[in-house]
Amino acid sequence: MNSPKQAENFNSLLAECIQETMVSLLSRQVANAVYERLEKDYSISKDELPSHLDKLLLILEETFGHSVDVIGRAIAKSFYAKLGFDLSRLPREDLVYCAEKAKRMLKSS
Amino acid sequence: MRATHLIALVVAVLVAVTYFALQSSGWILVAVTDVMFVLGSGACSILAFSAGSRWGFRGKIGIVHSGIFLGVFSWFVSDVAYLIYEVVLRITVSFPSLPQTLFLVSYVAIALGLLQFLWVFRGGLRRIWVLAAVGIGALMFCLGCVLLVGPLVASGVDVFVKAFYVAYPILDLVLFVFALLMVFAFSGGKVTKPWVWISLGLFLRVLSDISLGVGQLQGWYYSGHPIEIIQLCAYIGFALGLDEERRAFLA
Repeated sequence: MNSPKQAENFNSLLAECIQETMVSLLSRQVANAVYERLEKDYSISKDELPSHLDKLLLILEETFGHSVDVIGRAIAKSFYAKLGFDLSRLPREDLVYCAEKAKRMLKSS
Repeated sequence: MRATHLIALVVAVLVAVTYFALQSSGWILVAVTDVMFVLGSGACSILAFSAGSRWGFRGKIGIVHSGIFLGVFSWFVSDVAYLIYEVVLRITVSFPSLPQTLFLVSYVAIALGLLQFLWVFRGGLRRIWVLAAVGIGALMFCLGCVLLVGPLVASGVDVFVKAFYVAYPILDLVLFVFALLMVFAFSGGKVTKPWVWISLGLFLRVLSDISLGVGQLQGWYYSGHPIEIIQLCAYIGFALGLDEERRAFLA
């Protein structure tokens, strides 16, 4: 992933997976409320989210406690599936680690 | 139909059959039905704790689960107290007493848990849903008023005691409206189903508490009256909801 265009595609795909997973697991209303809080508390828009995954995880943890691990893993699983990578080969790390790892894997491919 | 739903249905039928079969059994009826209440609220307490443990007691949802566990556990303690009073000590429970006060505590715990969660997601709740939940609650409130006001006026019991008869259905209604809002907040997600069952359980509790209030005020209610089946079915609804919550997307 060397060009800005690739980085943009990477981010938009990740943002799409975050949205899809939150809607399917939690609901559209909950996803919207999470986006609203990100915007209000950290001035982070939905599109900027892939660069601020730590803040997303923070808000999800404040709301859903340790279930954030499951939500993060589900987002990572959907993201890796769309990229054609196998998430099961990775250790059980958080979403930030999985996203960084995917970025590196894309760069080296 | 899932196995748990089938078990719940069988339990509900068995409860109803037991009630009607034991109607002329006097003290045995009181003992058996009191034990059924203890088992019902006990099972709900275990499932509430299990759901809380699976989701974790941290975060806003952790407070919801803590509130539900504390509330349901208060029901259990209250049912145990009823059992001790009626079966062990053979004393008729006066109104209001320790078990009934414990029931009131449960409302506070559950309501606070749900309210703080809904407050976070208030932005995601559409006004039409809030209006629908409040509207359903208002309709049930009117039904409660129609059924309870007459017996309340006609009854010669103390005003303080009358307040208890009114407090239960109203507090049940508040919880029911909150639970409906939880259904709306999670609608479309994988966590909707538990809240549908919990709402059903609370709906049955509203009906049950109105019926019990009317029965006690008019003097036809006795411990072991078939009207209690509604309350036991409320426990079954609650248990199904808590079991679904336990299994939700964390499986």
